[in-house]
Amino acid sequence: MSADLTVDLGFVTLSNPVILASGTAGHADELAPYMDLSIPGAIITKGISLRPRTGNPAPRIWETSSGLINSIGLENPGIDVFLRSLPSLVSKASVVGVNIFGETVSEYADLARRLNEVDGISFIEVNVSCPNVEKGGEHFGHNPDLVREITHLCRQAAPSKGIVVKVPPIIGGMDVCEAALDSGADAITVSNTIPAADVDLSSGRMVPGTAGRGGLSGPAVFPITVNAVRQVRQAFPGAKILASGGAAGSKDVLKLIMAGADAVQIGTVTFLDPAAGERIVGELPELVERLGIDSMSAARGSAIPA
Amino acid sequence: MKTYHECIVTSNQLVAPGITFMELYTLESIAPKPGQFAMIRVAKTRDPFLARPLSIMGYSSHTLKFLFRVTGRGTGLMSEITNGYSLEVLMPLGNPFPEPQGRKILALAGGVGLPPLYYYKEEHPDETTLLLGVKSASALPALPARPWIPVTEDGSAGLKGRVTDVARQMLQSDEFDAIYACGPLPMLAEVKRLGAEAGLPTLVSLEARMACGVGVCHGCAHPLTSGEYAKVCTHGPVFEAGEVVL
Ligand SMILES: Cc1cc2nc3c(=O)[nH]c(=O)nc-3n(C[C@H](O)[C@H](O)[C@H](O)COP(=O)(O)OP(=O)(O)OC[C@H]3O[C@@H](n4cnc5c(N)ncnc54)[C@H](O)[C@@H]3O)c2cc1C
Ligand SMILES: Cc1cc2nc3c(=O)[nH]c(=O)nc-3n(C[C@H](O)[C@H](O)[C@H](O)COP(=O)(O)O)c2cc1C
Ligand code: FES
Repeated sequence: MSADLTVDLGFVTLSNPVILASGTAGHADELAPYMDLSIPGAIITKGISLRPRTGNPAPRIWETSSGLINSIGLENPGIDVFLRSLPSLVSKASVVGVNIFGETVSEYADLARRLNEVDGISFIEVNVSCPNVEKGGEHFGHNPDLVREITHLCRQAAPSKGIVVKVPPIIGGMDVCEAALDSGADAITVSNTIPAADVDLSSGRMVPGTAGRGGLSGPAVFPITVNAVRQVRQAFPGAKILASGGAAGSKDVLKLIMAGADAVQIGTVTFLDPAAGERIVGELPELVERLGIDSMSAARGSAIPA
Repeated sequence: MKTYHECIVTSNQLVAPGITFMELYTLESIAPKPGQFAMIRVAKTRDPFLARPLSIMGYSSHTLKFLFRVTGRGTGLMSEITNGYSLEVLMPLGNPFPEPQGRKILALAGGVGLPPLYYYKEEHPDETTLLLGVKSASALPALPARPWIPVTEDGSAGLKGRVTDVARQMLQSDEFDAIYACGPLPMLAEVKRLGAEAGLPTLVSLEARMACGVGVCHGCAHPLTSGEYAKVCTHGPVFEAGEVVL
């Protein structure tokens, strides 16, 4: 008998644990020419805000060994335009999550309220790794009180959707995860890109972007994600955890589940192969069988030392 | 579904200092158009990490042509690949230069901006006049077919001057209906002025750093005159000169 790949997240059941990560799979069905979008367990759209954002000047991406530093600047067309193209994705994907970010706390709530009314969206992924313009650009995600407030407001504003809070890289304490889980998050995504920079010897400047820094993703960050997921699982045994950071193949997906994740997002690997999501899901049954794993829930956290 | 195609390197040679001409045999047949590009995985080990974008320089009966300058690690490794090696290539990507449809096209190539316009000239020989601008004769690629009028800055071969200066003179004749160009940004900025002066439709092919090549990373953004950004991979790489900041 083939293994059970389904994942029960409470607010939705996924056919398999592979989720296309926000910002790497487009705003709608851009990947449709390259893969069958119904195959991944879920697809999360690129971060959306209330108003359009033009994003940053070049260079927006900078290659590193085994990864990529990006400074896209959260470019997006704003929620109104986004909602017009969303049906093209909803009609093709199994499960759709919509990633949001605000410049102020109330913008998060406004976005959640709008999305609560939209059919075909299963959950809202709340990205708190962005600057708070009311507080001089401090990242919301660095302040547990703000994360608590944002999560609570989104929970109230979108009672019919799952609320997933995407936390910044786990460095040190678990305060932000705790804040999200205590104030109504159904799940947390662990985590996001890791602050990074390089020096362009041809211009003598720090890169990427105008600020000369960005977020590192890709296989370079994978071991950091494995450790972070393990820490969060140990601190919150009952939490639903979506891992994000560096997974590039079916083995990585399984490793993150064995380190404590319920499901695994794949991001940067889609840039190397637009059909990566389909390929990775396709590889899972054989791998799972070879390792003698019966179900995803049995594998979850199985590698964590007692 | 569009996917990475496996291709076999059948020829890879230096055709000018620092410039390599590469031919690949495609196992499946494809249908590219001049102006479209490919994302080439330099190594299956994913080191270098990202695929490299290169313009398609020609295609017929399973043979693809590329011409590239060695500027860094990826192109350096690619220039050393030997015959028989297989490469994975995602293609054809982006929007091509429009067909002539009876119009006469003045095609302006600067250095390794040659490939898309070389291909265009090959496909539409009668409608296309191709100028290739380089610093001096030694930079002209030693290719089997050379369907271009050479323009050298030092006058060591062909016409003397910058390709845009020669173009300005040729445009006096009213012989052309559109200008297509590919080359370094300062050259394209001059081409944009030239097109506006002549009142002709002017199209330029742009470069940008790319991660995905298929429109999902937003890494390849180029500023538009409207104040927005466009993705070079899916909106371009061919743009109306008036539409983009140059
Ligand atoms: C649509 C398109 C078509 C192109 N066609 C050609 C062609 O036909 N012939 C040719 O010689 N060159 C072409 N280029 C430029 C070519 O892609 C770069 O020279 C090449 O990627 C450099 O790689 P590298 O590893 O040698 O350099 P590195 O500097 O080591 O590369 C590091 C990273 O920066 C990127 N990068 C660096 N320079 C450029 C650049 N100028 N444009 C885009 N990405 C860059 C690389 O892709 C890589 O991700 C084209 C670019 C684009 C976008
Ligand atoms: C180009 C790019 C754009 C991204 N955009 C977003 C975004 O809009 N919202 C968000 O929450 N995360 C965004 N991310 C982060 C990814 O969703 C993911 O968490 C991160 O890249 C780590 O996973 P990976 O190594 O599998 O890519 C982006 C990442 C990249 C590389
Ligand atoms: S290269 Fe990724 S959007 Fe253009």
